Amino acid sequence: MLTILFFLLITFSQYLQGASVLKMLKIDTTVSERIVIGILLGMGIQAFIPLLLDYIHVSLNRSSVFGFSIMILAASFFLSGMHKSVLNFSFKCKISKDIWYGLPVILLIAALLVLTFWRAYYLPPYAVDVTSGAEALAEYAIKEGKIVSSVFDVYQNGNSLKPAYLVSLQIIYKLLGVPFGQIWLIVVFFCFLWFLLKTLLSKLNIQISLALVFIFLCIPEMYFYTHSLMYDYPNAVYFTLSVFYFRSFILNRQSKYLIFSSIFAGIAIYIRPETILLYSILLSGGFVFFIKRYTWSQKIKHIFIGLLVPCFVYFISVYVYIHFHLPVKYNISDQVNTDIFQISDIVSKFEGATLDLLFGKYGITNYAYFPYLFIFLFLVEIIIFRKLRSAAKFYLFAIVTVYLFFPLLSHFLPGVSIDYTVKRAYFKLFPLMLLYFADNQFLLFISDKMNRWVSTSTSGT
Amino acid sequence: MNAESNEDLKMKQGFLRRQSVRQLLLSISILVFCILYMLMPGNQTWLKNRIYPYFKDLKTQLQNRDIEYRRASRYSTYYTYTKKISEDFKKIKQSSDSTLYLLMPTSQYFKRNGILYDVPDPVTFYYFSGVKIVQSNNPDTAKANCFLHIQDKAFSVRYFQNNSERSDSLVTFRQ
Repeated sequence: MLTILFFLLITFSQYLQGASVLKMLKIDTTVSERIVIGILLGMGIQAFIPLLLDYIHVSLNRSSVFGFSIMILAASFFLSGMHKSVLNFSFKCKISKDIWYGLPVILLIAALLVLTFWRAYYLPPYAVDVTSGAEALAEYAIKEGKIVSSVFDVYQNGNSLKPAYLVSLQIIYKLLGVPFGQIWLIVVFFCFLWFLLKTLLSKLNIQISLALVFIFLCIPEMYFYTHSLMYDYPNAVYFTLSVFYFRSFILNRQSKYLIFSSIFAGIAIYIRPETILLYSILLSGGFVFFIKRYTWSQKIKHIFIGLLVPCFVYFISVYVYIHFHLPVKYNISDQVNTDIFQISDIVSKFEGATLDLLFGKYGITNYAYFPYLFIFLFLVEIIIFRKLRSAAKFYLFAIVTVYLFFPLLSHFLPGVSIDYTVKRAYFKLFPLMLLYFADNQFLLFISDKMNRWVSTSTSGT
Repeated sequence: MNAESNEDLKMKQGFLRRQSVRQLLLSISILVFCILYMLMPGNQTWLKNRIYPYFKDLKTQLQNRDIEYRRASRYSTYYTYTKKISEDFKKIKQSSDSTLYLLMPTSQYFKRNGILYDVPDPVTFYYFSGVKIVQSNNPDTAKANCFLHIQDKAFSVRYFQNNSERSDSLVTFRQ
């Protein structure tokens, strides 16, 4: 019972932490968006705390971790001026009556959510990458008060040398009294699902939006990682948010959205460092192809601004951590493919990623029919409507960038296997596809037809 | 005037009723769409292999909340054998000796001795049991000061008596 109370308290503190950053940057959101984005952001920020404490050799225990969290929270609370509005703060969360029309599908979604919530709480982390890495480090960090613990006395297979995002969150939740830690996954999952639903609802009707969210939820490989601790699902969440807010920047050219996007990219990089390359490509491509009005110097300046936070986070949480903090040395240059011009290898990587992962016989086992749905809706839009909306073009660009990036990465770093690493890295494709669906003209057409059919039910018709 | 507004009210109510009925029809059709989607062969396999067993597991899981049970049911022999070995190890371990390293045979060696045990990597083994191991196929075997003796499908942990015993064990374990 006490654990549930602590869990709710930490979620609320994450919300306050995130909401104060939202307020600081003056990001426009609805109440429910503020809650879910606030929680996701707050959790991402909190995930740095155990790492920073470990850097300054402060023993990791309840008082140090939660004490420091409260200090950071109080500082951002006052810096953002949220303390002034805390008393007249109200949750005017209006639930649209349309939501009742989605109830049958909501019940299906709820059944899957309850199941994943339970499994995340009940079962211990399963993946070898985690039991021989983040989970082991977190368990011994609690016992020994430090991340660099006796775990490093035994032979390492490399999994404990990954950035400390999972380790830090596992430490926080284990200190709360949750034996296997990983229940934070369900918070990430729920908030993200809500964010996706809200984004779809801003363009499509309730029935289509819920059906799309349900199909997204039923991607087998992704669903599994909503209750089994791993790097890729949270990475996909934060990466998607960074892409979404970069799109907001493209729309209204306000730097605050670029900074906000880069903060989410920073958290995604803290989870998986290669995201810095992906985000850089996306950012540069976004400025080149989607912002025509800027001069080249303005574009370069903004790319620089957009990369400031990601580079800083990379330096602090990856470079310093691996090169100066961990006792085992890890050199990425040892992993690089020396024969980078071997075209046949590049072709085979793309073949593997496309035919085996996405569309082959394993494709359906991995991602069900989601990639097929994407191809179908894209073709319908191209063939029938022959014109893409600007948001659709942007998300298609992001999808193509992610699709091309990982097989190429696998070519340059053979350790990035298609069957395992790229399979999970491709989780980033599906939320982007879902965001694209919100601007797919065929779906918009159907949604519009449905809305008209409902609203023209006047007498005599 | 009143008659007109009553008429308006009735029309409005009728309109709202028809709107709700149409919304309901749409909801049912989307539900049918979702169910049909789930009936597709790939999704059926997923439901059959993952989701239905997850629901079936719920009852047993709700009755068994013990942490060790949860670990054992999740990791199976990967965990239970590790715990068993660690219990043997703790029998010979001197109170606070943290320099003890147990030399572990490969999974194939266990299999040859009639035990189906997929040996965890050293970090996972340490996470499960608190015992530091050295795998016979890893480069740091010189650290090992005790080894796992297997006879008639039973384990026991023993100290190396001399260097030749260590070399012999390494040769046997690596086979």
